[in-house]
Amino acid sequence: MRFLAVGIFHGTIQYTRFCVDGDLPSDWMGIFEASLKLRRFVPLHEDGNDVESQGFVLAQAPFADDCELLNTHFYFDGRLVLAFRRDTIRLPKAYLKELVKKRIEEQKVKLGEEPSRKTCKAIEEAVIYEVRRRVFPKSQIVDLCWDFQKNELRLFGRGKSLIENFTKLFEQTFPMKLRQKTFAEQAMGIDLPLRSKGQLESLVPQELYQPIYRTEV
Amino acid sequence: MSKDPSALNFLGPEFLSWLYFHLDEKGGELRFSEYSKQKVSFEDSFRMCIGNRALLRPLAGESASVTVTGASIDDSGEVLQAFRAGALVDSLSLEIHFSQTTYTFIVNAKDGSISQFKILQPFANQPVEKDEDQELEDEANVIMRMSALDEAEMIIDALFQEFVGRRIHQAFATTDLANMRRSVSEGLQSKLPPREQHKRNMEENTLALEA
Repeated sequence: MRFLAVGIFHGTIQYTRFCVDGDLPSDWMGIFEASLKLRRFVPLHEDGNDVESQGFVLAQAPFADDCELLNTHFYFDGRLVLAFRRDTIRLPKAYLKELVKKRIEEQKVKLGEEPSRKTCKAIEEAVIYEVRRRVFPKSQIVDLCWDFQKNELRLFGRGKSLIENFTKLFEQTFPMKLRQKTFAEQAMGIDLPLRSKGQLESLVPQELYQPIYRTEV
Repeated sequence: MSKDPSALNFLGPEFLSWLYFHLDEKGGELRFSEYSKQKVSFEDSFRMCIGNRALLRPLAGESASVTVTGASIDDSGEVLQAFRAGALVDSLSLEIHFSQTTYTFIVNAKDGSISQFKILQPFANQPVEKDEDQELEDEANVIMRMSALDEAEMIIDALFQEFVGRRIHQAFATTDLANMRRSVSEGLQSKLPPREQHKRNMEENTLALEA
């Protein structure tokens, strides 16, 4: 199994910062446990057709698929610690194409005529099913730490698609919105007098020197 | 109605470029209380310096970039040359030294993310007695590591706030920007050989060619 992990417990850290917009419900423990039950990770079944699955898992035991997500496991001193797991199966396209071609040829010899389009489609589906069972999913596990006091979340990974998939799942699970904490976002959040706020909003880039290799659009 | 924050995305590279010169100006010795009134649990005085990696690119160009790596990138002159060519800092490796602990990490201007964060402590390589209760050990680990991130973030955020406070005033162009330009030209000049030496070298080369 290929396992990509970015850890909260050990090793070098890389993370993306988020602001969490929205108030924490009074009975958050019960609400979150119920929501996480619905959005927990469900492994891909070897007989299924899906090629990807994503959900929340315990950061301490990301492969314990039957372990319940209880607050005693994910609540650490004012912080919610979980992991986002995404399993994907990538079918080898060139190999599939070759195998389908070979099977169609075999069928042609067996029937003594060109197989119908319906038969070709059925052969293709059977080959995909057969190959899919032999390919092991690639797991991506990214830890997250949500600080309730600061209303901030750290996702221990970077990358556009990871952030998009995670943000979508988070907002489906919790009654809150996520905003990536870039420097621009942070600047807008600084407590400034109204006049300074206006000055900030009207800022334009100020180059140290004119670039000598400016790209023309 | 407030502006779309993405219109201010240039503030990230501008901040890291300003920080590069600000640390040089301060000699790396900073006091948190100079930048923020916020009460903190860590030491007020610390040393912050440029680490071993910087990536520079112009604001408008995505493809052209310069990566400088090495033990003392601020002494190499390559960073200054990139600044002179119109680039700004896109990601910068930083070190924060407290009396007992050091944090090293890279700040990325584009998305404000942090990468390669390491906590260096004396005796960190000595075997640590394993706690019998794994959950307690995990919790202690999370608290310790998240506190380190909190501290580093607080320092970076306070410096960013200082930068924004300066940037919104018109004086930024006449003071900070002018100082940065002076640092670049002085730094580049100091990397070039002295004029007399240069003249002698040229004369020697001419004589050698004539001979």
